[in-house]
Amino acid sequence: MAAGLMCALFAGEASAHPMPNSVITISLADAGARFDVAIPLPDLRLALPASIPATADLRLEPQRTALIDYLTAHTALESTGAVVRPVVESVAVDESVDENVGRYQELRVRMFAAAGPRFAPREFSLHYDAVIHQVPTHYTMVRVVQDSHAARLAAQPDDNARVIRFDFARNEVAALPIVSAAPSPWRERRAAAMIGAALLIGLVSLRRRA
Amino acid sequence: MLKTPKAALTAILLVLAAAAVVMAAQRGRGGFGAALPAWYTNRSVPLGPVDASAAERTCTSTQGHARIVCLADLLKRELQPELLTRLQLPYNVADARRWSNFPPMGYRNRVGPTLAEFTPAQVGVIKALLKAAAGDVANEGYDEIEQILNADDFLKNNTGESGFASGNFQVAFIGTPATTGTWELYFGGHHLAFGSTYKDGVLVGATPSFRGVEPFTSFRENGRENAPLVQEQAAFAGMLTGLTAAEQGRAKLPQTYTDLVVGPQRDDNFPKTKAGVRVGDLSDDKRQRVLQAIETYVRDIDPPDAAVILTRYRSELAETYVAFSGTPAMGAENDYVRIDGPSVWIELSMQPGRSLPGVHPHSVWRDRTSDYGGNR
Repeated sequence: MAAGLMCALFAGEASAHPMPNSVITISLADAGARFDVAIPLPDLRLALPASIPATADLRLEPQRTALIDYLTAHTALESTGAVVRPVVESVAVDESVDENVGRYQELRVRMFAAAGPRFAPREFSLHYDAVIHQVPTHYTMVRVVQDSHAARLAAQPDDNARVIRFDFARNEVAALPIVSAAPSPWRERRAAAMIGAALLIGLVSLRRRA
Repeated sequence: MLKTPKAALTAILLVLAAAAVVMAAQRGRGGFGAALPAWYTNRSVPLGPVDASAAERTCTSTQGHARIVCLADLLKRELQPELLTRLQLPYNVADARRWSNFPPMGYRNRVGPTLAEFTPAQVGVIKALLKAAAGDVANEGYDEIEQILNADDFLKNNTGESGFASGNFQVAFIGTPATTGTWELYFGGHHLAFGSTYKDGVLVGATPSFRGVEPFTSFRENGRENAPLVQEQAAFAGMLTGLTAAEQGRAKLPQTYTDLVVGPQRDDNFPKTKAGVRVGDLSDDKRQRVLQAIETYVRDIDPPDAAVILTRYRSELAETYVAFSGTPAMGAENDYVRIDGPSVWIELSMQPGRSLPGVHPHSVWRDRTSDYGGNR
């Protein structure tokens, strides 16, 4: 559903009726960075190695390991002069819907990269070309949805979505810099206040309906 | 509960902040699902039955660009001021770029009034204008446009979905039609973008030119059979299947293309390096097939201007490349083909059906040197 919604938001950018784009939502925290990836299965299957049968259930072995290997190979985080690969924590397949293509299957993967000497979760470059390397007309929307340092919450306007796509003019997939704001006690308190206020509004609405 | 003014003020500020968060999250961008602007009336205005004879008689003494200007002036004459303001725009490339393959449900930034907003006589002038600018070759030019509009009426009548209708297609003059200065005749809507740019009375750009259609195979609508892009698909299939196995091997792209590369709002997305088989390395009969495929797009404009452009493309044929992905028969989902020359760029991508079963083509004719008349 996330991919479908993102596609609807950017309907003016989209150009035809292929599968919707992939979506990566990033959550940043001191402990590390979490990546929630949603990929339309039809396009993913065009890109997976031939060793993975076209109709295989990607949640089951041995396809699951092969899928994880594929995603890991196509995702790298560069910071502090080092390159790390996030760990795949979960794999799921769900149904989504898009105005142009109707219902379709979507792979949802959660990956995590822990903060450490080789990875700074608030300033790194995302090297990601899953699907795109084989389907160069596919693209991936990337959005940081949670970052307490920048007082950014999932409910805020989509003002920082960016796109990873194949650059035909340069014949490459460029890395995407992810730079978070510096820590700020004021921003963190404001973020906490906004979360609290949103909860308050929700509670008041529930009481009214009751 | 709120015993002090400070506590009350803090609570109010928190509530206002939360309300702002919630409202921002609910703010939509008017994409699919949002109501269409009022000028998309979903009324059918099929061009076939429209009588253009009065307009054609008025400008019968002129030809070429002069005839197009005569017809444009005829349309503007006695047009309601509000429509005239939307029809006649100052020349700017930003407005020229506002085209798409999407129907209004997916893209609502096109310029110009819709056909449904004009009187029947005015639609007759528009029909004459399109015939003059696009030529009248069967299944190309104006005839192709008429059939693509019929396809939208077919979708309207067979899906009931709001947004499909021939009356929703739009026309605009970007720049003032005249024998001096720069202007573009724009006509477009779902699966269609026609934009011819003139400078000092000469055609300087016939691209970007987008053509798509759903349904793809022959269908009956508005009193006639329609199959506007069958000959394009056949020409590409003939071009590719005529290659030897070794030539097809060189032409085949290693990746899968599910969409056009240089589609709407992707004006500068031309690949840096050419891929595929070099047309100069092919035999004469295979080069002719490449030309035949090119002609199915270039003949979408009036014949004298088409001849000038074809002469240029013919002279560049040796350094033109042909590439494809999928199958050379160009009949399956994700089948894709491109012709990439020093100037000419044509792509066709077979898309899955959106409203009906089966596949349907999206295609674009671009020119590396003269898109939007060379203006950026």
